[in-house]
Amino acid sequence: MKSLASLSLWRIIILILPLVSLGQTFEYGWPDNYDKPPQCVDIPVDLRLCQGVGYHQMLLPNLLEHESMAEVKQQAGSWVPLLHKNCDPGTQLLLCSLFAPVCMERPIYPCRRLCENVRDGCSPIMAAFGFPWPHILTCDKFPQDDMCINTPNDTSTSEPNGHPPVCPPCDNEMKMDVILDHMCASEFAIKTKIQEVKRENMDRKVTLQKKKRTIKMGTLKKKDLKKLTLYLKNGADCPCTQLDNTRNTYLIMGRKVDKQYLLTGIHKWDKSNREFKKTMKKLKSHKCPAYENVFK
Amino acid sequence: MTIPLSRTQLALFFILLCPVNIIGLWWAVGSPLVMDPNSICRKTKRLAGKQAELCQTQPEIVNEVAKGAKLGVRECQYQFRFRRWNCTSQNKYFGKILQQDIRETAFVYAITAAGVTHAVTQACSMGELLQCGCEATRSRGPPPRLASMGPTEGVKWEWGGCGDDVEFGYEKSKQFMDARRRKGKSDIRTLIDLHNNEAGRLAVKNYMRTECKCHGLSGSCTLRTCWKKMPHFREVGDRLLERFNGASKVMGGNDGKTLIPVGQNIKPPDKQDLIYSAESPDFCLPNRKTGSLGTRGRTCNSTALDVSGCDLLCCERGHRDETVVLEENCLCRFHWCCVVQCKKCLVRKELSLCQ
Repeated sequence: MKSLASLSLWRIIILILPLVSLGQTFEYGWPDNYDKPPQCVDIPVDLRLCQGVGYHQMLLPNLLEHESMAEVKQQAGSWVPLLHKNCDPGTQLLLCSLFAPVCMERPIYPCRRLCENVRDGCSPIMAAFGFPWPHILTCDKFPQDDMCINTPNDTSTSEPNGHPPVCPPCDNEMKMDVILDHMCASEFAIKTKIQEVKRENMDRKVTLQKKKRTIKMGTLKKKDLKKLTLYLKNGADCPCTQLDNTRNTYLIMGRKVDKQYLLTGIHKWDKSNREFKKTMKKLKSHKCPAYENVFK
Repeated sequence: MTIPLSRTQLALFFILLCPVNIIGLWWAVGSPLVMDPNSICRKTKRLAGKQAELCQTQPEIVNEVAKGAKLGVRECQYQFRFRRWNCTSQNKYFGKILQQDIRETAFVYAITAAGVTHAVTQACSMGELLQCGCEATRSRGPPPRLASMGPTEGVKWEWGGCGDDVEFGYEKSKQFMDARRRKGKSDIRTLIDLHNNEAGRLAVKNYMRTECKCHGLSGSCTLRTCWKKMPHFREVGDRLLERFNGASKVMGGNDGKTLIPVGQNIKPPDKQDLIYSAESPDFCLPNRKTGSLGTRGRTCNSTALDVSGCDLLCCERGHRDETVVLEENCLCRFHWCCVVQCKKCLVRKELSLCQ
């Protein structure tokens, strides 16, 4: 009379019932009740965004749903240049609390105030590079209570700067790490001279000389390269010493936004500078974290 | 001279004398062994032919089958937590449910088959099974336009990531759960069980969704990768509970191989519907034969009018109110870096318990 199917199913369930009954309190701390729980892993040395953040281990998957360390590195790479801009003291803390969250029993999100401070300080600079404040960092979704990450000493010491701020793409340190980070965060890079600079609405239009050498092709096509015109976004009035000197050769980086090419970085091609020479040599073997590796 | 008992005799003695919950503890202590595929296969000696074959050739898949069954039972307990029958995990009472053909039986079969499908497919995506991996999606067309992704102009997308190979999980669930099917024999109960297993699997397979990730510069959506993903298992449980509430009563056809709905002008159940052939008991009082534990002592909601309300849950036997004082963490604060400090608060909770 008894179905054999039910008997065998019963035997399977009998095997696991005691385990189920002992775990009868439903623990649904993580979004999906079956996916692998996050693991505690060391922050790798080459996750440059989060070196020196103040802790040494992170959760993987992180709070941005990056599932592998390769994915974390690839996505974090384009944020590193923002750190160099020093637009807000809490920038690294905000970014790393999401990209490399602290290992706790439950996820600790950044405080809304921390997010808002960084957003207000950094989004004008991001806009200069053609980036809106991203959806993944929408501040409204972060907590306002005490169970969140804030800057350790929350004293907003704003130093009034006497000088007008330098155009973000022109405000660059002659340092190998900075240049390489910018290179990875840009879509293309070329060696050339400037022919003409003109104001156009809120931007500055930069016309390049015909003679160009490609350092990084990226998404650029050969026919586009010939008549390349770059825009310094929201850069009509900020100072940029590089654009004032048309006699020098420059390393120019950029990216395409809609149908415009934006200037994302400009360095003097200074062969007499030791740091620059070291960078150019390193550039030949340097590999940016690529998204192809993340998903295949 | 006393002859010492053998280990087997001692274990048998222990099992026979101890109540069920201690047996549960005993199992828990040996939980690594329980989850060992060979141990599972050894403990289920009288598996049907196909199941035995799977145990011999693919023991690691049987491991995932066990995880899937556990997932199914846990979801069952969640979905029925406010009902008279709450998917109790007591062995003998639960076994009685499985030996009937009531609605509750249908749900258990379906949620277990769904759990197995989900767990095996998940193991594929996690790279835990050598027999399978990510589903290849290169040959598919573009993903459906997602409104939340904003304007698609200029957005590069591609199929990639680790798509869930639900076909593999589906097939393994079928092989293991429907092992009886291979023999060709059929009785009404078997037909009902097979139907409900399939309904459970389809609750996963027919609801695959497209998940996309933006991985352009600075988190922008200029570059996007999409892949197929299983529904969350909570979603599967919700769907099957709906099917449970709308389950169809059937009886055997004259040829002994088909099922026909009971009642005039009733639409025949489709593949995703749950079916049953016997009416459920009321589950009010303890009854070993029907697998009912009764509702005495259950927590109920004195202000609700649905199944979790005291009138319905307690079968109108009344309830009593109790106040318990619990100590809870409160005013938690995260300190840099990195500790969470909480204060302890006393919290009074009002409970209503069925008489």
